[in-house]
Amino acid sequence: MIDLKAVCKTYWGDTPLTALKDVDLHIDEGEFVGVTGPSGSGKSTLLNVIGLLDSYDEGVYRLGGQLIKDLTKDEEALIRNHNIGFVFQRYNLISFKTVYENVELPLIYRGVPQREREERVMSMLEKMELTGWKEHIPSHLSGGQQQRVAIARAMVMNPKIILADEPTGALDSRMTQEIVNLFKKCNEESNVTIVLVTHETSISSQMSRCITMNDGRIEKDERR
Amino acid sequence: MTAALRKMKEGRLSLGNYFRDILASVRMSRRRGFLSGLMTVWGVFIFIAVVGTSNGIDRGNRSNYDYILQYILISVSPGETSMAYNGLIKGQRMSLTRDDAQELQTLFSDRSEFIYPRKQIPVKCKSLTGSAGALVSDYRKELNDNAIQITAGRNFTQVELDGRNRICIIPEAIAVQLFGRVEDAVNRTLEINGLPYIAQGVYKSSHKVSINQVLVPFETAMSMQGMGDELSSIDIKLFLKTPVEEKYRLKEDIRSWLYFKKGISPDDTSAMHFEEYIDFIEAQEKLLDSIRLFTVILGLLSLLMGILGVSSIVFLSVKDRTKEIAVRLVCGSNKGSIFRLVLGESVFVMLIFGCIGMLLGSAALNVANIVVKKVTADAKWIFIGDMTVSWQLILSCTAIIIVCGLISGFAPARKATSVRINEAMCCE
Repeated sequence: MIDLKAVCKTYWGDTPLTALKDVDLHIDEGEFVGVTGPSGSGKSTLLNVIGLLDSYDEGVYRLGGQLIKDLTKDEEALIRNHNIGFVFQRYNLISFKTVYENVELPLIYRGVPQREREERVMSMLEKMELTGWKEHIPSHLSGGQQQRVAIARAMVMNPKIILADEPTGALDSRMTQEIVNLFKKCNEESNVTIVLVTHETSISSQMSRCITMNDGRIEKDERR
Repeated sequence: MTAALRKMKEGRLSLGNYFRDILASVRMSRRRGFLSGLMTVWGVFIFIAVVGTSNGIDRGNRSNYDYILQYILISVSPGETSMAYNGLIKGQRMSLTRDDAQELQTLFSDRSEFIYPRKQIPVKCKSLTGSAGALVSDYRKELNDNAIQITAGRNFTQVELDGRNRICIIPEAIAVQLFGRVEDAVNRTLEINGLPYIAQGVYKSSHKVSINQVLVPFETAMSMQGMGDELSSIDIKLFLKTPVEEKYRLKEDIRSWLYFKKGISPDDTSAMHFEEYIDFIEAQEKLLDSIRLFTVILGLLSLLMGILGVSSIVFLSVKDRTKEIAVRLVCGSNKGSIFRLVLGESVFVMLIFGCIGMLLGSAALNVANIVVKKVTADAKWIFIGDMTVSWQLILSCTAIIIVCGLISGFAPARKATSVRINEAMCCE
């Protein structure tokens, strides 16, 4: 599913910063992978490269067998739309759109007809227990609810992969567990591959595989 | 088929969603939208106001010289030679005859609308109660020009016009002077140069240039002084919209032909008098062109201000919406869709507020029109006329506003497509 070989990424500024150094990583379909490590260890950069939100400088990256290199922005958008769902720490919902409209957005960009969109959005909102909130805008919702909307938006496309960057970073412990459970449920029911970045060991310990990063390298790769 | 259609639509918003998103984002940024809208309203308002004012100045001035523009343009009358030449002595009185007029008609009929032989004689009119000095003139030119309006009695019939009847139509001023009241002058007899004439009608000038002449049929005028075929002048009416260069050329051609025919020196300046209004009209046209150019520049500058204002505000909007744009990209939007969204928003703001500006501008012009009409109701010369703007201008203005919206939104839209998702997602 996700295959990285000797991937390097450097941010070129006044003082160049190498964020990924010779990263080799293979993730199979249906895996639930946690990525942990200290701040600045390259976790988010790794996630961005996997999610085609950022480019890499050296190495080879294949997603579902397809070589990801020198793609146009629109090609990247197409691949993202078809394969990847994103969940961010700060939810990143569009503030002036309702819960329903936020979840509907990726389906609109995929050109799904309205009736089908409605069915899929409603079913996803039901799954996330958000049906009663569908006409509300994000600011009316609690952090946990907003994150559930973000997960619903990521899941509505039936993606092969979900990339979550510190999805519980802004939530309390009760909400955190609720969101983690939700991810587990998605992984088990839909066999979707999940890569979740976190620096909380209590979360990473709940996953079938845990990758620890340090200084741009994969330090540990544990399977349970 | 459905799959292919869906593939085509991928990464783009459907039309309905496109407009829904534009409306939603405008609603969200009401204050910003209001500010950019205000700039647009002001820009378009000024544009419409200056164009309308320019129209008013143009129409007002034109109405003042329309008579000259449309009717008399070149008038030739005989004078005296200023130098001896080809058998002519210095100071010799020249003449124009019916033959001259007829030949001019033959030669220049394709370059002029009418060529009139004119006979004008200064006379003394007398009635039982009073007398008045007047100029008797033949009637055909005024008839063709619709330059007079009968206010009492009746007009000449064609049979009367072609005959030598001692009948006349007199201006209201002379009617009042001779008979006390306009109505009292009809069918009354007056004496012109000792001979009785019937005043069968009274007229007033329908143009700003007042005609204060006793009008008689041409043949009657020709027989009045016993001067044979001699004319007072030959008037040449040009086609409307004849270019100035052609007017000058025609004048020179007529002059050359007359001088050649009469054996006058080409350098003689007083053998024939050419009265023409070309210079005056040209100067007026140039003045109006300058005013028009000035107002167009002024209008475009105000529109430019609107463009810059909207553009900077859309730029700010893009900056504020960096995260939203990144979310759209993450959700599968392509760059084109983002570009169109920002551009659409700019055009939408420009169009809505531009229309308000147009409405306010048109309303202001209408109010100004009413005021100006009241103020200039009795004025003979008007320097500012109808200021209303045409539908064509409104449509053109709408097109200009759309183009302005596109220009305003272009740079911000390009900026929006260059948003780096990973950086945008990190910012708060």
